[in-house]
Amino acid sequence: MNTHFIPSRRNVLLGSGALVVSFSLAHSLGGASAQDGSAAKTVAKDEVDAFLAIDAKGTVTVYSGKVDLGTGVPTALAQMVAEELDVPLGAIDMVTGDTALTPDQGTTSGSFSIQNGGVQIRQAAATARNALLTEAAQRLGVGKDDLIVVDGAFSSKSGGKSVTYAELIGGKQFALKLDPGAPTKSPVAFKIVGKSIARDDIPDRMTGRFTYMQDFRVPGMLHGRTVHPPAIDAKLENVDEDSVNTIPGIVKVVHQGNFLAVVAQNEWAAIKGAQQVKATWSKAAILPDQAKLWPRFLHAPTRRSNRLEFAALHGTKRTCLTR
Amino acid sequence: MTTSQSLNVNDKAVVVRVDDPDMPLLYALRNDLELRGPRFGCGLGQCGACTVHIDGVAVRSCITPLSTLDANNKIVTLEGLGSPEKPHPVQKAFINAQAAQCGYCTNGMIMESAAFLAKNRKPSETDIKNALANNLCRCGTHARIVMAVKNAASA
Repeated sequence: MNTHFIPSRRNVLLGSGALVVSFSLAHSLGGASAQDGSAAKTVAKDEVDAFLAIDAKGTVTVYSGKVDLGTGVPTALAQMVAEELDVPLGAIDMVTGDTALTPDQGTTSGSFSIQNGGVQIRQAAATARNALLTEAAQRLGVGKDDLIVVDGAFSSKSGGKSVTYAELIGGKQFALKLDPGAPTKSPVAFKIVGKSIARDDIPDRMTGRFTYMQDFRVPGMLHGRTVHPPAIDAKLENVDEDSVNTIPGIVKVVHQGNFLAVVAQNEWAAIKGAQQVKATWSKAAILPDQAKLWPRFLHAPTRRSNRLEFAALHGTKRTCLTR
Repeated sequence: MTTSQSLNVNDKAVVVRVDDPDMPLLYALRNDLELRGPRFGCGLGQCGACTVHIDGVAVRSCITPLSTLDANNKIVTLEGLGSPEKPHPVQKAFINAQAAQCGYCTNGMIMESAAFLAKNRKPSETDIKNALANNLCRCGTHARIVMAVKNAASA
């Protein structure tokens, strides 16, 4: 598995799309001739090609809108696709969070990345597998039931004939709508999903090579620090912009409504500026007295509510009472 | 007034531009030298994410002013400790134990552990926990971290 994407390949995919030859499995199955031409990489969520590509070497590239915020999602998604397509985990390349190449799978936050995002990609893989199976059966002149697939190659149970994914689709588009009803593999048959696989990103994270968003550096980049109000609902009444003038590198004091921040040429100047900028805030409701926190919560107003909506949504009969 | 300061970082002589001698080492490492091992966590020396070795001692780079350092101090960061190709034994143990979720605190955990293990060959689990008491992890990977350090100690 490889979660590092080569920028030159991105350019090819984004450019004229000359590399991606449009050839539809669906069309070929329907008897229509393969279409020549080219198209840029689709990101439409109802297209198999938005999520998957298989090249001439049999490498499966998975495009996911879910990104790695530190939960190892790319490794888990790669496991799901490898499982569904019956290819080795090493045959999977992951491309994540590139809005020009990956479908919009919504926010990445936590477990939804697998249960929503992963399931979506799995269904794309199931659709692809199903189409490849149909194509392989036709190509080999055998029934679909007579085929088994191992490491991205179909072979006849009765022996002799075989054909690989690369031979069937390598470098071409699926041009298939994602089929929500495409049969998925039974969990009983899982070989890769459910196994504890070493995360691909861990060695880089352990050695200072991983790029966190705080590590991005662009030419001419400025640094900023926000200044937080001293209490909830405190209003920013006055700012003395000149109060940070003596700090070398200060670019600007920004204030808009209750937002206050200091922009500087370097991070330390921004930090010092945010600490030193003179601002007057209104008095406002302060947090409850720490020493009286417990009695305050005990005597707080309560509301009884049946969480029926929650129950309906999640198919549970449990109702929750909130104090 | 802008001055320049010579430092020894990961066995290399480097020069950084300094507007303010009070600037902590962390910002020079991250912004001037573009190192990614040491991380900004709290900026107050309370979380450990910024830890580096200075002359073999684990220190919080976010509260170590540049003015306290010179070219004779040997500064080592996470990337100076080892690489994915040639990891330090502690890094190797962390990788094997998959001892991270987001890995943001890992720099501190590894740097603190490496300095600690260099002086404590056979630490107990309690010793390890005490050594890492001031390194915070929000993901909750403590159990794996302690296991990794134990493994590194016995490797």
